[in-house]
Amino acid sequence: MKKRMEKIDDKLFKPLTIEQQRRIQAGLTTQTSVTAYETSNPNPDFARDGDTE
Amino acid sequence: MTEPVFLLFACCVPVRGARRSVVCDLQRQCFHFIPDGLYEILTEHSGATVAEIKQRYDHEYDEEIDEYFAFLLRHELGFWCIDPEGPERFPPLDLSWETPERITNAILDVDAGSGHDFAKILGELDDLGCKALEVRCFHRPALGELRALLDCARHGRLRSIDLIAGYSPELSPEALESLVKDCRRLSSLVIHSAPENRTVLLDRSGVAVRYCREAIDSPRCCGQIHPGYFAIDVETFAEAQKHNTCLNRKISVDARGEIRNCPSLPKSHGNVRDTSLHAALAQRDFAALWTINKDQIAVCKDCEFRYICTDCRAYLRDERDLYSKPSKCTYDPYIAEWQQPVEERTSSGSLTEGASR
Repeated sequence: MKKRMEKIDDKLFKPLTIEQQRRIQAGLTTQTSVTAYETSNPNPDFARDGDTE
Repeated sequence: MTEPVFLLFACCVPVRGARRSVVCDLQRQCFHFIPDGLYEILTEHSGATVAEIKQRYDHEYDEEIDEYFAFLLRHELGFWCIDPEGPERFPPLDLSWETPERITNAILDVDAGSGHDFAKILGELDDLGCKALEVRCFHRPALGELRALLDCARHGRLRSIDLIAGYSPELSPEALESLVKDCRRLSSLVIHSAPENRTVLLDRSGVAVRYCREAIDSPRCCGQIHPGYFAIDVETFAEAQKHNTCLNRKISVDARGEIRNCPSLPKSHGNVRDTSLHAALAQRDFAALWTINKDQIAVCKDCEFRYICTDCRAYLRDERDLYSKPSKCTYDPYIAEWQQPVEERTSSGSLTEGASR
């Protein structure tokens, strides 16, 4: 069945605001730490690993 | 001349939701909401020209369809391809997920009475290939205690350590800067039970220290679902296709030393004092929850965020149903709205229970 084509400028499709994406205080980082780290820093400098400074 | 067809870049993957869909841009680590109708065009009518698509909808939505493609181009989610063999030349992303590490991430809970042998635990985690560690100190550790812990992580394969600790005056930004300087693996710091909420960006390392007033005093803070914690990258997206985005390849040691998949799960697989992490991991049921993916979970399977969201199997809407929605997720994909967090409607919960990400 063909679906009704909604207007893409409808408020339903607006991007989330910064406020909506802000982490509320005290929420623990419970997600996989790997992804948390690699998401925040997509190009981590693995050469600086604590052993090699 | 061949009529062009629209192709999404391989890293831009559409995901259908009950009320709306998203295109996840895994390279730029962001997502765009789209109507389910556009999802249908991108999937069921993939490879068709615009004229063909408009024809298939009896020219009822010509304007909307033009706007859809303008939207996709504006956000650089795809391109017009005039090569007749174009679709074959641009195959979709391979979303199979594999990793050489037996354990990729771990949680270590600590309180004033823990008495963990950090060197032993971190050594065993390193043997298992663990890349990322979250240390949650529910008490107010002295700076020296943190240094001793982090010294045990000085060598080995850990890439990142997220540290959560209770506030004490000696945990000043200057002291923490020094801590980060000595342990480059520290990637984030949360200081709970602090006098005020504030975030300090440490100058030299770029690591953010978040001071927050709320107490993080038990594993019960876990399991919050919020857009701020979405992970929009290839690794998570691929892992989420067949695995659990929280529990897969995770091992935890709780404050009493009990080894669990997650500190909030009831099942213990032994105590670190007499069981090695290897032995716990070798138990047949240790990985029982690793393959519960979002396509199997009630409600989540209809959510457009299901491949970028972190799951929780410890706090469930229906405790008797292992496949029920996380209790701390307030998003309703059927109306595309975040509801008020349940915890905020109660006044008797602890501070941490009231927190929502």
